[in-house]
Amino acid sequence: MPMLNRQQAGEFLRRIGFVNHGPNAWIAQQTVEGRIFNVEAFLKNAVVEIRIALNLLTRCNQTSVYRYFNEQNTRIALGKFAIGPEVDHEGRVLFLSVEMPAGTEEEYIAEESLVLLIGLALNLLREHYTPIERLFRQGCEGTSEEETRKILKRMRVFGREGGDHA
Amino acid sequence: MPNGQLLTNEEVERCFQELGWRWLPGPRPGFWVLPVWNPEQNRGEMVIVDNGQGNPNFIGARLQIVRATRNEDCVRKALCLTNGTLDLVKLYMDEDRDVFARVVVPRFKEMFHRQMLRHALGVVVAGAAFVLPILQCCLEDEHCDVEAALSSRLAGIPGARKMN
Repeated sequence: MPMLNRQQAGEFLRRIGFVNHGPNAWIAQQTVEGRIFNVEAFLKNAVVEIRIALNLLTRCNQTSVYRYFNEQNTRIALGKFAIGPEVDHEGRVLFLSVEMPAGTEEEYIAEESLVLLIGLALNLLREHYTPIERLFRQGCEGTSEEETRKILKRMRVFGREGGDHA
Repeated sequence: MPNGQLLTNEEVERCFQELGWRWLPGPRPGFWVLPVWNPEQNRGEMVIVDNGQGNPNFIGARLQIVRATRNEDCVRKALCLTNGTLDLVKLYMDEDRDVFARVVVPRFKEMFHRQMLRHALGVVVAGAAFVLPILQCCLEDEHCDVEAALSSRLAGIPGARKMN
């Protein structure tokens, strides 16, 4: 089967249920583990990317999440778990990205490659979402000394107030 | 994966030739060492390319960046954040604490275009150069603020931020 050009790649995404939502950007939704995820496809100049935001916003150091991500990123050939840019000072989104370099504008990507990228992204999501969520829910780790001092100070104040009431 | 024909070592070498690249034989058949110029650091890098040796379905291109001798959690955080910033390249630290930049290209003929190899080599070198100062922050400063190091790196390179 011949390679698709970039426009044909977009048409293929539309045929399988993606909706165009910006220049070279496509989106669909998928339910995994009873949750709805946005599956985004980007047909960029040099790269085709399938990206799934894990709907988990990290606001602090989460060492166990970094360890898990690095472990999986070392193990898997295609695909990576990553932490995105800050969203309105609210935190950073954890996401999964499966990428492949593109060819030329006219021989941009094979249909099989698009199917492979989407299928792989969904498989990785199914396999890893629950362990990632579990680690994420453990909360923050590795608080700095300053943060620890603040917490201790608040505890002392709370202790004194508690004592006053007693 | 499809059941198509896989690129042979000879065909991969022909691609190198067509792309105008020079290469050295690697430690075993199916491995090559490609000298690539790193303009940011003004030095040559040796990218290792393998034809299905890491995974039979892919041609892999990887570059060792540094060995994380200390502050590994900081390094892992730096890699997670940078992976969320850069397209295509994947950064990871292996069991020996060696940090790599890696990209894979499909090895099946019907999914392959030699331009993919060109993109792969370009981002491996650029990704390694981008992350190095952030990793150095982790390795040299016990209290390194990785997010600040990433922000200052992004501020220095317009267009480095991943499209959202």
